[in-house]
Amino acid sequence: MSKNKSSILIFGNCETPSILWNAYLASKDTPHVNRQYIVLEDKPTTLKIGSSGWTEMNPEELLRFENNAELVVFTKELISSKVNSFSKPIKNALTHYFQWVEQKCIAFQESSEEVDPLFSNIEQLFFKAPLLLPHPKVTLCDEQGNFAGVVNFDLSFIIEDITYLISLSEGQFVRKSERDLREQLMNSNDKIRYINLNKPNEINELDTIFINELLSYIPSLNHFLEDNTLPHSIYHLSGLDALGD
Amino acid sequence: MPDTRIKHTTLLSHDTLNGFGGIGEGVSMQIADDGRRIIWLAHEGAPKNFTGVDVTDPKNTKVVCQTELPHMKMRSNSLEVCGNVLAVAYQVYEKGLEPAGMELFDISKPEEPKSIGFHSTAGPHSRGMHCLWFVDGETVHCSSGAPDFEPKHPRDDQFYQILDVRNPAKIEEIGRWWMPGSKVGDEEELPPRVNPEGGVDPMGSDAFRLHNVNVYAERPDRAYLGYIDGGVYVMDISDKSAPKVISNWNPHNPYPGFSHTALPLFGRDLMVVSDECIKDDGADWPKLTWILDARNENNLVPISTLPLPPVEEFGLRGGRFGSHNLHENRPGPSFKSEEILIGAFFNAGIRIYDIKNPYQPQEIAHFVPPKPANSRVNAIQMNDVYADENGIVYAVDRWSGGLYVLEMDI
Repeated sequence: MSKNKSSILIFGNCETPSILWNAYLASKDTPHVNRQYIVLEDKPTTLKIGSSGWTEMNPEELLRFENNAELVVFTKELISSKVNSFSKPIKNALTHYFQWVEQKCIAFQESSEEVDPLFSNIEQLFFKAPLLLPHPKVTLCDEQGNFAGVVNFDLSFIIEDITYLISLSEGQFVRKSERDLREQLMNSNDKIRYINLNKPNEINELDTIFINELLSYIPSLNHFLEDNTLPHSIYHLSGLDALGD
Repeated sequence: MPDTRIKHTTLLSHDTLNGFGGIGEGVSMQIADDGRRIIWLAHEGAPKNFTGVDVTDPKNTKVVCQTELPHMKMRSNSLEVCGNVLAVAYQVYEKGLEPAGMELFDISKPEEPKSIGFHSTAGPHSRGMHCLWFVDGETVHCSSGAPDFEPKHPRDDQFYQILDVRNPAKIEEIGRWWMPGSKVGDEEELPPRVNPEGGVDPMGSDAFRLHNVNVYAERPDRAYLGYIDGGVYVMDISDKSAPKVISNWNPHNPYPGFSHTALPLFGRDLMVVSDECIKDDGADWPKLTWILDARNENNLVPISTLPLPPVEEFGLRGGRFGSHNLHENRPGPSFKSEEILIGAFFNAGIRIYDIKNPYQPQEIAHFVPPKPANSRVNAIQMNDVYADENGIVYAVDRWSGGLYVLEMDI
């Protein structure tokens, strides 16, 4: 069975991508952004930390948190929990990215006099940042539309209509089969950008070299606080999702 | 080539090294000043010491240098190249013989290696040096006996030594460590011997001595020791004069002994540990290569082993069958991967694994040539392996096959 459907971007721990591809083919009502994959569509959609779908939270869970700061900590842990235990550079990259986002929020809060005081603290602005997804795998199909495998990367952003796929392969051998699949993916989709970055360091302080290299490839990351939308946490009341986007 | 088993590898060339094709555990690459790639090989035994092969064109290799040992009761076995310096380990077959230890050569001119330093570890209870690690141009980490070291058991003679080789004319030992209980005078007791053979033959199989030691620039304060029946030791060498044990992981027994190489994969918090097969005809099967979870270096946890081909097919094929040396991600013109492992498995040839999912390693390629001419056993005995940064694999046979140059198609 096959459908002429969009590719999906699987994220987090996944040993058998074909299972999710088949689930996607069989699904009718599964959201295009869900806890295991994202359907790569043409319509511009920036996937933010506060976007709905990539995680689900019910009201009872929300009540565990006494304030937004706790929710930020929880969210960072939630994203980090999707990193494989044996992928330290990816975990480090997330840590540095979160630090950079928080520093950016603090700077914005301190520099701007015009922001709404109700929605200007770091614990809210944090959720406006693009979501950095670990272990993205993008599906490939053959000419008949049958599942042909996945192309593996380390990290991903979806910003506007562009999917950024990042490898931290610094000095490491990349298999020819993987290089061929990457090339096939790039040739088949002009909305995908491939970025190869050096591994971030393990020190707790912000790795500015890593962040600056990231920003040089994705300058739009710098402007996540400038879109004039209200911040929205990861809790989305069913049926009212559109309010936050 | 009849009886060759190939999966996703291509044999580019085969060089029997002028008929002296028995190679030990030393394979290391030099980029010479004139740009040539020279692979240096330590011989398994006399009469040859080491051989240099120009592999600039991997399809058309050429021996450029082949040296002799001073006598027949010794072997070189292990070597490493760092820049234009070649370090060679010398081990003798009878304790007390000389020369035993390590020699340094200037190989600026690969055709004319020039001795620039020698460090003797000969002594009444020493066989000299078995293996060495030399990657920073300053320090050699090695497994050797010493003139002042008397082991309680004759097979426990080689221990961890750190040598300062910055001045080749005056090589100095700057640190040492041995498994507590192995030296005469130690108060500690050694654990029961694993598969004890009895006797005092230093070549016997049960031993609490060091085989390989690996030290990397990513963690210059750590040494990773394959201590044969003592298992793996992670050492703190921030003070090289006083190495300290951080942890010890030892599957022997119940497993059949001979921890050989401990290869850390720093970016993944994994460690790969090979046990050396040391008996013919599957007598010590299974000799495994282990994948350890090394997130907590104080508590190494085995999570998988590399799959081996069927024992019923390889066990009696001839010679040894099982794990041995790994490509060690060393600096220099060297293949580096924390997802692809390349290993030498004696009669099971060269085998290449994908450990992207470390819980389920997958074999993705292999190369098993037929028995080389003049081998003393009835099958290939892949003894060591090295891969360069272009993914060209240099594999060596223990008895007569010499050098096999392969390309991976993975």
